[in-house]
Amino acid sequence: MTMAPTLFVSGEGPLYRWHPLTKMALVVAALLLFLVPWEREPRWLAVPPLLTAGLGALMAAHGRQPASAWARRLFWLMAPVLVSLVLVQGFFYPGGRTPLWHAGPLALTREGLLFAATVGGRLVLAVGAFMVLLVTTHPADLTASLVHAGLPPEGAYLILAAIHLLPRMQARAQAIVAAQQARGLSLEGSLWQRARALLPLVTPLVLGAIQEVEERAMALEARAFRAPRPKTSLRTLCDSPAQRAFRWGIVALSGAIALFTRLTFGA
Amino acid sequence: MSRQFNTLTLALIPVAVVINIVMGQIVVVLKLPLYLDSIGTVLVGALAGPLAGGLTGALANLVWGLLTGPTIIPFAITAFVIGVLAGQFARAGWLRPGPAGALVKAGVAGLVTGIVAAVVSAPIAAVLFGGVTGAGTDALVAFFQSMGANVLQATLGQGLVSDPLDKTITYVVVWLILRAMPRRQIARFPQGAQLLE
Repeated sequence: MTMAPTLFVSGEGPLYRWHPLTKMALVVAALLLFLVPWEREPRWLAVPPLLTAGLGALMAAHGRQPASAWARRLFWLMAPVLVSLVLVQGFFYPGGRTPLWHAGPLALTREGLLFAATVGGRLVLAVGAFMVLLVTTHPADLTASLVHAGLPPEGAYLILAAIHLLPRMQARAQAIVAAQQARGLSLEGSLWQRARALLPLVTPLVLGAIQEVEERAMALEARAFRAPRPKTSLRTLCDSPAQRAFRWGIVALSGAIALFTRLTFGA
Repeated sequence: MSRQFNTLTLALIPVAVVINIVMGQIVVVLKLPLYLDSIGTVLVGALAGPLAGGLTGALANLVWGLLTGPTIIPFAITAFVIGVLAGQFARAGWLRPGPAGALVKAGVAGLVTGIVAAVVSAPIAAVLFGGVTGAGTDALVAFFQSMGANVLQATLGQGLVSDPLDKTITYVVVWLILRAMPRRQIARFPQGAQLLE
């Protein structure tokens, strides 16, 4: 069965051998750093970008393809957000008092820029950590690890079934668009004309898909998917005491840093 | 709980997740200023109940995140709330497929859902993203802030401009789909009998 293209890029190296939960711990650690009051000390604002650069170096050690996939996706995902942050919060931040530069009636303020740097820095770090997980982990391994951690197998099925269904549904949507255009449906014109094209496209797509649901349900029943017994997974994941220790260690470390800086320097 | 999650629901949810994603793409092809990316979520809420609807919404964001990047994943909370609300509205009879007059009720349910969605999304967008998304709607945030709003209020204002209309149209589309579905097919889903009454 074909799968929708995910962010996964196959490769080799430690990150590919690590248990997915270990990489997830990196994400949790990055998210805990949201609690650090970065804006207190402008020098601290260099830390999240440095950590992100560290993630980049880690990816670079795994070959050109995974590293460039990581960097490119991260850039296209975050660049518009960062530009917007500087424009919107740099110029319009409600707490902005100290003007640094004037552009007509608008002023770029120090407080706005600090806010943008705080939000942007920790956001890029968290998204970067998440992208490390997604680029180096096959979706099936990701769901298998979640089932290990206690997710019901039904949950894994729901995620993987959706990823597998997507290309087929996209192909069907294209066929419906072509069929309705052949019957004279126009996708161009005024807003109202385009809005009217919506229903002739949605209705057959959804009704056709629901028709298929019953077949899928029967296929699941026929394979005793709901039987209350342990399920065998095709994918094997290796875990080690060292990895388990690392997982708890990195989360505890980042939690401690967040708590300490918050209590000492917090608002 | 288990009644909401029979095998039919389990087979329906991934299909609905994909409907969300594909509809989001059709809207782009038609160049409509809407998202319409919760049609599947609202449909499952109506057919299989609040929990199944909520799960569909959350899962759609998770899967979309796996495919394109994690920035959409925090909004799984909003998507979950949308699905739960759809299930509750359907349970209360607001999505009952009937004569054209019932369309108004579905629209109002969508409007309420849109307002709640904006309220739930605002703190997520304000805290994690500093109120911006990198899209054209960020100009609205700048506008509200220049009028004296703080980041959270401005984000909420931006959401209240776009979400209610989007969810109203979503509910109307779902209501039209339910009306086009054969009654016996609706009745097979866990909440189908309640939906038809």
